[in-house]
Amino acid sequence: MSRFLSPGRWLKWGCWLGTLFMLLAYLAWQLPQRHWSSSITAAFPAAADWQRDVLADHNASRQLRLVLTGLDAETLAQVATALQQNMLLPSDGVAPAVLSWITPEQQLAQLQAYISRTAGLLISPTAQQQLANGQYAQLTEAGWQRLFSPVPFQETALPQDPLLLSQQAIETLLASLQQPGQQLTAAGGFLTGNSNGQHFVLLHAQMSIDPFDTALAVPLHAALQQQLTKLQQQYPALRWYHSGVLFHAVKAAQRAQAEMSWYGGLSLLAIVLLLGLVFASATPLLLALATLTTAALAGLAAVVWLFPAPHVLAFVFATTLIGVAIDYSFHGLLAVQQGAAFFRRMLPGLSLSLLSTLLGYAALLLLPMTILNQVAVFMLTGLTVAYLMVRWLYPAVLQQGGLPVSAVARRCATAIIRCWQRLTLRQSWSLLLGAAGCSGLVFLSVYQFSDDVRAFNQPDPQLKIHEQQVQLYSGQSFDNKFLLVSADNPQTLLQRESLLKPLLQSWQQQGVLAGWQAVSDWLPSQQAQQQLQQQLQQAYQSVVFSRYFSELGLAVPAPISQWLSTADLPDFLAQQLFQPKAGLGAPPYVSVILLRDARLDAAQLTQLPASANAMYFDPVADASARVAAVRQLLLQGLMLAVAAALLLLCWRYGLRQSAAIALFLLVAVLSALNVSLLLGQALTLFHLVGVLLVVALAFDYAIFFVSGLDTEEVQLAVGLSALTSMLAFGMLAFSQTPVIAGFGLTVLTGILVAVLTAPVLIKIGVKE
Amino acid sequence: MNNKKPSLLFVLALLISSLPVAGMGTVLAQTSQQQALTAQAQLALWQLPAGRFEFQQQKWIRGLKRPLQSSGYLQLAQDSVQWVTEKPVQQQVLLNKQGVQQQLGTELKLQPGSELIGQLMLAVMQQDLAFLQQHFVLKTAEDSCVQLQPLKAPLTGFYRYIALCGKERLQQIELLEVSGNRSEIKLSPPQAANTNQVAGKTQ
Repeated sequence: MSRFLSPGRWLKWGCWLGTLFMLLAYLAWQLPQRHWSSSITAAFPAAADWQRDVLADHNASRQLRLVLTGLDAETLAQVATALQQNMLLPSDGVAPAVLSWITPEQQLAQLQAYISRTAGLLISPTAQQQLANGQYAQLTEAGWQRLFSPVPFQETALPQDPLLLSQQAIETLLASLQQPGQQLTAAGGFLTGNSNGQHFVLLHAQMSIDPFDTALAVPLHAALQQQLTKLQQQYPALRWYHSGVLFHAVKAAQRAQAEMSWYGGLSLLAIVLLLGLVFASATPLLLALATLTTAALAGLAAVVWLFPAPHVLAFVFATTLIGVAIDYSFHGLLAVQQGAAFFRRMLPGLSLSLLSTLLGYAALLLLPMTILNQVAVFMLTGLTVAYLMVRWLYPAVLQQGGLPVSAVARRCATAIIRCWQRLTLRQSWSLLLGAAGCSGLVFLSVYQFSDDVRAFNQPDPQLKIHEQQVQLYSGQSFDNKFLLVSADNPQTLLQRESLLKPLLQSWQQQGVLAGWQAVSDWLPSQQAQQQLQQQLQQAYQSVVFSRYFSELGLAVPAPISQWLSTADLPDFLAQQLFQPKAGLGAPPYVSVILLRDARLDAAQLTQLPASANAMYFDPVADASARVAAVRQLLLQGLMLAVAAALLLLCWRYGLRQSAAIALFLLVAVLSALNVSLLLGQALTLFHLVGVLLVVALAFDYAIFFVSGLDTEEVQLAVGLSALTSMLAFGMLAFSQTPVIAGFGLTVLTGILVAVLTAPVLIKIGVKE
Repeated sequence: MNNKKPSLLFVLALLISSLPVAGMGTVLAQTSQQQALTAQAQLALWQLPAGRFEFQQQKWIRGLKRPLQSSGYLQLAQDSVQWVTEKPVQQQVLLNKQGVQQQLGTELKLQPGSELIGQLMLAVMQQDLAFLQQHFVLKTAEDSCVQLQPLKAPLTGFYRYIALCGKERLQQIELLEVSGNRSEIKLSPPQAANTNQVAGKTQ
């Protein structure tokens, strides 16, 4: 009773409650302000570069396309109009409108305005050649043909461009953008078409928000789905397909969040059941829950404090905190039951265990990968808090012998220990060496690594169907591969782009490139515009042109002095020009050349002229290369951490035991990786992250088994901890995201092997 | 009370005065309906059979003092119209539901975004009532003409109206563009086609 009422006890309770309250207050203040990220690619670059920044700003990821079909043309038009009107999400006065529809009429108006500005300043390559070669008759012939065509044209420019050269150049450019089989018609705010006798409407929209910002993307996605569902109730035959990063980002975020709550919840339930069965009391349950909650809140607060955009996936991995922190909890609970002396003898083991685990997770901080940095911060903080609670709070709350442990649990622990004690020292070493050798041989014969980021996330099959259907209706889009040209000013940029044209044409003729869209095709540099004007003014004096002007009744056009600039460009071209943020070696101006169906090999890419200052950029290949580099770093960091931990153990327990622990770790790690490999999975970076955790937990087990404590007590704590961890990580193995599943399977197998083989270290630790 | 009296009177006067207007509205609606029916009947009579039709075109382009004259023939098939200009320059344009394929140099190239123009030209030549009614208000006009006024974008951005004229057969097509350009296309029946007509670039 006196112990219960002691001031020290109340002080500790007060400290804990105060900390808990501060954490809750901080999170309640900060969390609503934070935008959670769910992009796999956003997780990678800690040291981002300008190429990635440029493409992140590229509007393609903020656009979405919708295809409506299943109804007659007239009804479809009504549905499309209703959707456009209902989904107009107006500006709230602070932020711009979330979604705006891109209408073909807007684009046409912009294009027409641009065409009227290009008179006398733009020419097609064929006409340019004819002009340079003095083939004036061919130019006037083409002018007559265009004038007599029944198709309406932009007549306002006729006095400045009587040969209609700019109009013909634009028509040639538009024809090059036309894709085979694509038949779309602009019709009042959207495009319509007919595919296999089925009418369809194609809607195009632009988002002002980042699709990976779940706080904004999820409500937009929900509003769109709600509108579509409502329209389908009204028109049951209506079918729709959508395409865009938004749908994938929201799906990934929802899946990650569902998995996080599902696996976290199940793991927690398993712990509750285990504690209930083993201790038959609510006290350890409440204490363990308090430990886990405080540790998780502290971890979350640290991540929110240090990272402006916490990543959802980081918290999926961070559910593993439950597994490691509960290990400390079990050791604390069982040690307190044995008395203060036993608890004090347990503490060095617990501290060493924490130190080795922290060393492992600290290695993640060195990696240039935000998601792993966040996992590291979460785990370092959470585990430290869990350790402090076990160390300071448990002895104050629990009394010696106050919690009788289930006899069944004790019998199981004793049986396992006795089983291992039957082995001789030689047999123990042989077993360890044999298992390490076998695992090593299997690993060396089947190991393969893959850093392809496309395999990291399994796209939703439904979304894949939607994407394919939209592609079918709307035609082939540009590749996710680009040519980036950089320069100090826009004029040099346009000149450099022009230098690439012969090569692009050559690639097109070789069949390795179907098409491209470059700004300089539409907007020649000022130097090129001036040169064209000079050539034209010279040609206008020729007999052929004089006759042409006379037959049309037009005067010779006056020289033009107002040049076209980037400010005149229509939106669809302007969005290919960028001014990257300063720093990171970014050039002042960058243009993106969009490529269609590019199949370029390394040899072809070496043909890029150095004077064009251009680079080929494939974001997927780039991200994969980065992941490969991170994997190498992680491997090095892991080996460094293991070496440091082994040296620590060598100093504490001696060479022989450290060697045994090293072998034991090797068996656990290689067995874990072999299971994934034998199941046909290639090892990824995330398998290595799993290895990191296996190493951290296996070190824990090893340290407690060699620390000279009552082996049955150690087995009981380690067994209970391993069981809960396996339940938590076993769940992750069923994740729909391949990287999480790979991580889960590795940790599950690793812990299973570690907990089954750890008692062999007891025998090795005893001197004969 | 005094203040309310004039208001009440005003409302009554408005109601009374609106009665004949409402009646006139009904009459106007009936007239438009009748006009549309007459126009439809007229168009149905002018259905052109597949075959070759000589044409003469006069095109008034804003900025040019004189109209441009050309001649050639239209080869009308079930799903396409071949527009061949023979004089003063040789030129070929293929119009079908896929759009307008225009001669660029020696090649025929599909002009992107021209699908509606292609469909429109085909519908005008073939008097495709379903298409025309979907995109235009049809009404009868002077000189045995049927005037087609575009209903919605993007056609409203291209044409002010299209007039189809004739007596027993379609004889003339007039296209007035929003820009002010005007084309007048005179069609000759296949039998009466005068292939020896001289056409100059300008008058």
